Amino acid sequence: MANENKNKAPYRAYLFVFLSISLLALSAWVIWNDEFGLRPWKMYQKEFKSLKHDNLEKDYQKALKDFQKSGDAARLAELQQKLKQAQDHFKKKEVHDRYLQLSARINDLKTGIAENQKTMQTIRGQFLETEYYFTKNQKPEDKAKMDELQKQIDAIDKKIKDLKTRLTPLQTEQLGLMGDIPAIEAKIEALQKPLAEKKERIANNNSAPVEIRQRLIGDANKADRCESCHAGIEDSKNVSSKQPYTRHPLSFVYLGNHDPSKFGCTFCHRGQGRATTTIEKAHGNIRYWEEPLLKRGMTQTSCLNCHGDIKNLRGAEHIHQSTELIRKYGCYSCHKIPGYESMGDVGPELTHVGMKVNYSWVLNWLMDPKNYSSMARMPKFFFTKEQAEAVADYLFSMSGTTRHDVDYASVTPDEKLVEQGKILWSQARCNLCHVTGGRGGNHIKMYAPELSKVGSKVNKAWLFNWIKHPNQYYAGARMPQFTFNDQEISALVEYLISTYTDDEAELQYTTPKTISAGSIKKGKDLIQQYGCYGCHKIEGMEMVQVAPSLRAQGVTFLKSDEMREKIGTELTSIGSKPVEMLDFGKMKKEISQDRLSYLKQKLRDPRSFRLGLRMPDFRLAEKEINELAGVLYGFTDAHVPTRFLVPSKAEIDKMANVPPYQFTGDFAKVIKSVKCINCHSIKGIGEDYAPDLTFAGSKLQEKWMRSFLANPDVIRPLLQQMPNLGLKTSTVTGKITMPRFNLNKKIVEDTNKSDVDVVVNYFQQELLSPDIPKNIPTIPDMSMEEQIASGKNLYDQKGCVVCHQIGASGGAVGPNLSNVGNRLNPGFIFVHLENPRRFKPDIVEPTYGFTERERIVLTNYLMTLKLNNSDANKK
Amino acid sequence: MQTRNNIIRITLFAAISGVIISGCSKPQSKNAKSGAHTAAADSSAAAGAEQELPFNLREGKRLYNHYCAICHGETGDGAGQYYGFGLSPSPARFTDKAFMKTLSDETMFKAISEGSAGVGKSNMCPPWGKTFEKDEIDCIITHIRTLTGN
Repeated sequence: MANENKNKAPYRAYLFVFLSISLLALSAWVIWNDEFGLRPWKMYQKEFKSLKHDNLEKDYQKALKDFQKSGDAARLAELQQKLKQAQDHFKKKEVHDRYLQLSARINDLKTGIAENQKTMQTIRGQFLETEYYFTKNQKPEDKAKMDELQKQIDAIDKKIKDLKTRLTPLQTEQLGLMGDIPAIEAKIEALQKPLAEKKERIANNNSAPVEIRQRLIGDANKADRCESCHAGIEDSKNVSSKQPYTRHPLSFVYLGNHDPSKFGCTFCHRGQGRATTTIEKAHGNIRYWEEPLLKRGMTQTSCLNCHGDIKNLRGAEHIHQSTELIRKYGCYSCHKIPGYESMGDVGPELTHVGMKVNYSWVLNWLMDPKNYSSMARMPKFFFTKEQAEAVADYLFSMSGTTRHDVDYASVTPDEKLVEQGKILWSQARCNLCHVTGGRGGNHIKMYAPELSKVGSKVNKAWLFNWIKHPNQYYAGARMPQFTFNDQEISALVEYLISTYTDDEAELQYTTPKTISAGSIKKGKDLIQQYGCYGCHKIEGMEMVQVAPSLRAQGVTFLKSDEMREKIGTELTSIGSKPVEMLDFGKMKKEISQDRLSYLKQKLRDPRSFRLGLRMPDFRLAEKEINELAGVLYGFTDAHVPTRFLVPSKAEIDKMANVPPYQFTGDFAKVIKSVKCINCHSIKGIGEDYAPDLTFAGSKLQEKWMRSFLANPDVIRPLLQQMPNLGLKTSTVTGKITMPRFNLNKKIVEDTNKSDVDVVVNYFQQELLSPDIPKNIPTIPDMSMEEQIASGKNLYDQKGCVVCHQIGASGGAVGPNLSNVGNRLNPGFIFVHLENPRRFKPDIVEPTYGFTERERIVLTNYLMTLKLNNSDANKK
Repeated sequence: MQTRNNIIRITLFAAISGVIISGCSKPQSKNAKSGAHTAAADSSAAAGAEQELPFNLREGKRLYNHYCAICHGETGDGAGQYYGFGLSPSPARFTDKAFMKTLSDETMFKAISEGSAGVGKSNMCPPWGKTFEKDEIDCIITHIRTLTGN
């Protein structure tokens, strides 16, 4: 028995020891994990503190070296010696004793004054009380008491004054005893101040506690602890370029305008603000967190949550550029997008397209628009030939009964007309908007059709009418009316049709063929299915309807008032759509299961998710996909507190019942026909390709305006800053100027006025700025000649010639100034020189910070730059 | 019989300790991994590599192209497309590695904010100090540093 027990014991003992040790180890690990393992931010903060310490220390050492080098150290030593001398003098027995004696006496006097003042207060109180009763009851005893109290007050007052008079010389003497000591001490402190501050910063950094840092936004239920690891975000100097020790980029814009204690971090960056245990959790890259951290290149999408206008918003430039893609491809035509409710149609009206184009061209176009023009914005619908024929049949049936083509290849062109047309074409500068043969199209945002193969597309009769009266073909036409006479238009038509043909075009319907009714019906069904009416106005198809073929499959609107306005999904909060509600379909295994990947895949290949999807393929470049996905990602229903919202001007006007600006009177007619706002902007309407005309009345001189409108010349050799010209995609010879619209030959319709008169009148009455003075200040102590000479001197000294041309010399970055004395009003130049960004926020001209005097002399100098009348039309 | 019991005990013991050890190491290894995590570009670098640049570089590039590239050229070779080639003296060449090495960040900052005249050269480059904030000039300098091909 005893043997058995002895044999069993060792095994149990070993087991027991092992388990005890593991329990001990486990406990130790638990404690360590809780303190450090689950709190990596401690490590990051400590590391940051050490990096910052090194940085501050280096800074201090450098400042110390500079201090010693600059002679300040020597000065400091000198001052300190002087101080010691003064202090030694002060320490001498007689000085010191006298000082103490004076101190005692001053103290006595001060005590006396204080006691008297206290007594005075009491008596004063009694006096006021007595006065009150006297005023109330008018008793003579009260008056007597009042007088007596007043006597006492006067006596004490005198005493206090007397004491104070005795005090002043004593204090002066005491101060004198101290000699220079206070002055020297102040100077020493001033010298030491910068170094002392740096030392203090080092000490503050060393003693900074390592703790959770949190931004609490109570009403939004946010507790952002990002700064527990990103300790350097709010620092003014960058301590390291490694994450997470960096400081916030462009902090004067982002942190300066959005105080972190009021905004936190996650409103803009998303992520899981509360998490502090691991990076993945804090950044929200975990399974059930719907708002992961916005990656690089996407952070600006959050600007869309609060800001209505991002056009000139500093810090939102990248996202603003991306929103241009929505305009370019017209996403708002099929999808409801906030802010794009009142954009015009992306494509032309198709009601009368049968009178415009060749049937074969339509077939080719419908099957793949890029077969006709690589610049085509219309997406590919993957129609089969039969489907394309059905659609084309429907469209042609609205203006005729046949499929027909016109072939101009067999017709010999009139060479003289062609030659004339060519000259007119270049004079009118049509290439500004239209690309022909790889040239032109600098006004990219106009998205004007490429005309390299227009001869095989349209017929001459239509083209003639189009150039003559663009607005007659359809109301939303953006092409301006150039008022050529009929002969000139014929020349242009001959030139275009005969020069720009497609040699490979196959025109199969030069003998017209009747359209069958069945085909028309099928076409209508297809159009309703694919929603062509979203981008193109088609008469009879203004409302969204369910195509019969789809209705047969059971597709229907649930209720009549749920008829969506657009055929595609509403995108108002696509950026918040839960991942579970996204239909990945066939792509479930191919792409990662998050919202951003879904959006990118949808843009890349819209029909890849399953059969039966109808969105067409826009053939976007990868860069465009990333940018668009970023914008869509920003359309969220994020519950932003109302105090954060910055509504757009349009929204504010709507709330204040202010109607949007509209052009009035005859000027509106000019705008409607010449379409100045295709290039210029006026009061926020229009494009920014050409100069803004909102204050043209105050800025420009009348005589010059008239001559320019009649015959536009070159003012700005490089119309816009170089990168925006897209020069890599096209070659431009000659300078870019306003097209010649043949104004001054025009009479505005229904009136007898010349259009130039109408425009100039409107500018001078409506387009004014109260900030542009009519006259500039004068300098009384300089003659005009002196001022002009001084201005010229300043012009040369500051190097204005680098960017501006005067005569033959100068640069081509800014406007030519040879005739600026005739062109601009002096008030404008004066205001412009103070802050060039004021009227054009993205101007390249630097702000020099001129004094008012400098601005006056410069303006006076510039106003002398005039070309005489014969040259004025050349420059 | 005792041996069989011992075998059972040993197996049980190994199993339990295995469970404990594996349970311990998982969270630890996660922390170790995240501790070593640095600012690497994320895996969604399909294309659009430009958008993967740090913000300072993208902003610097945007500012440089808008304000400086006219004379200095988008690639920094001192031949701005329209105007740089006609300037005399020609603008600084940021692609020249040896030259760029001689420029400290402080010198570049001074040259940008006070103009080329502020660092003893011609007055062709205007002073930008009142147009840009310090952060913006830093972004531009960061971008210029990449033009040597780093």
